[in-house]
Amino acid sequence: MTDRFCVKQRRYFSDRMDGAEIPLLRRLLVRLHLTICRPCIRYNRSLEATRVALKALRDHDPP
Amino acid sequence: MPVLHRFALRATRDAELSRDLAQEALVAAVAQAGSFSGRSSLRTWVVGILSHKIIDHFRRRAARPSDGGDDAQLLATPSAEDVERVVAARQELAAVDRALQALPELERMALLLVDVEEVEREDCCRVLGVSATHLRVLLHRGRNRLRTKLEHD
Repeated sequence: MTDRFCVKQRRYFSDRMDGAEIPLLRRLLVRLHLTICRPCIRYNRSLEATRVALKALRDHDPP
Repeated sequence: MPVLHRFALRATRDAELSRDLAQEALVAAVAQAGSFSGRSSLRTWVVGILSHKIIDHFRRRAARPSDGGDDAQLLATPSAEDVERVVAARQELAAVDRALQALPELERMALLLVDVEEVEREDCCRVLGVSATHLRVLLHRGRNRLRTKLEHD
C-alpha cells in the first residue's frame, strides 16, 4: 500500500463521518481500505475522537 | 457565559471584540426578527447572524492565508498512544479549545458551525460564503489539523 493511496483514501474519511454523498465505488474502496490498513484505522479513530471532542465544546466556556 | 459570546470568543480569540460582535448580532437579530422563518432553531438563526458578523470582520481584517502542507499532515499516521491522547483530550476541553484557536479562521468557523453548533451544511455555506465542496475541504483540513495538534500537545 502506498502512502499516496492512503492520503487519497483519508480525504474521504471526514466526508464519511458526516454522511456526505460519496460515489459508490469510492465508498466501497474507502470501506475496504478501513478494514485492512492499520495506520488508516488509527487515523480514522483519531479523527472521530476529534469530532466528538468538538461536539463536547458546545456547552463549555472557552478558557 | 451566554451562547453568543462563547461562540464569538472561540471564533475571534478576542474578549472585547467578541462581546461587541455578540451585541451587534443581538441587535441585528431583533431588527430582523420578522425574517425568522422558524426553519431552524432560534439559537441556530442567531448564531448564523453572528457568524456573518464574524466573517465580515475577518474579511475586513484580511484573513491570513492557509499554510498548506496538508499532504504531509495526512501522511503522519498516529501511533496507538497518539490516539489515546486524542481520546484523553476529550476529557480536557481546554486543550481542544486551545488547539481550535490555532486553526486558520475559515477552518475554525467551519468546525464551530458544523461540529460544535451543528448548523446545517447549507446554512453554513451561506454564512461562510463558500461552496459545498469548499466547506467539505475546510472541515477535512480543520479536523485533520486539530487532530494533529491534539496529538502533539
